Amino acid sequence: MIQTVESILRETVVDTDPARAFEIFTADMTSWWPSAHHIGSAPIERIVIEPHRGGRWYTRHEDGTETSTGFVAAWEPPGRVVLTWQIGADWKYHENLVTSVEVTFTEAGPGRTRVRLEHRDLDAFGADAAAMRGTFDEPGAWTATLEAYAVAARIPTP
Amino acid sequence: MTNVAAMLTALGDPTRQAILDRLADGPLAVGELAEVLPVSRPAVSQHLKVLKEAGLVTDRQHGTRRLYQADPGALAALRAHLDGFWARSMAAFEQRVHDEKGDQP
Repeated sequence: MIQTVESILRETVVDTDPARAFEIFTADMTSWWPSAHHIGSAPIERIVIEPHRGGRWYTRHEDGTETSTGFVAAWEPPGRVVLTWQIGADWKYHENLVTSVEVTFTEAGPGRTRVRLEHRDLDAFGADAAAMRGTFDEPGAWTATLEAYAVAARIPTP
Repeated sequence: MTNVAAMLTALGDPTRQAILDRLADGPLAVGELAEVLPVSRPAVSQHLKVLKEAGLVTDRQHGTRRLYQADPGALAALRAHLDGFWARSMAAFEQRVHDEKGDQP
């Protein structure tokens, strides 16, 4: 299939070494992942990335339920991790819908790390994208969640 | 709600999924879809009607042929959404590393 949807690229430089940056990104995702970014029936209790190829990427919620995001496609600490992102337009996990999130950690001077994230294979969404747009348009759906997040994000952390 | 429900219903059918997969590669006419899929031309027409009503495909007249294609605006909306999603996530990650640094003696 021709690649018609461009990958998403995000890059940042953080003040720590690659090993620690990798650790915070993967093992300690719960500490930084925006609290509004979940598809469960209750708030996030813990986000888990099982630290090996084939491991699960899932979220445990405060009501005891779990939601899956994807799997570990490549596990190469401290330089690189590739995760699958299998959440569809209906905000549910799909076994057959596979997009990829690749994150690389490279040294950018002493004690500094360049973190580059690429979310690719977005064509897998195909026409699911239309349903996604419909979902955004629903009052009180994701748009409202994002607005709530934007408000929360402006509150300075102690 | 009706609109979303219609879309999800439309997406729930394997033949319609196959049609959408084909249309992701470029616009096609009903006859072309019927040639590559194991369903009759009238059946393809019926599925296209459902997909069009759900807002998943659009159609246009091209000479004597009517061409169907996946809605490109929908793909752009999806990408824009994910882009914002990762922008927020990466900013939060950056802040987390920064906070840790600040905690150190």
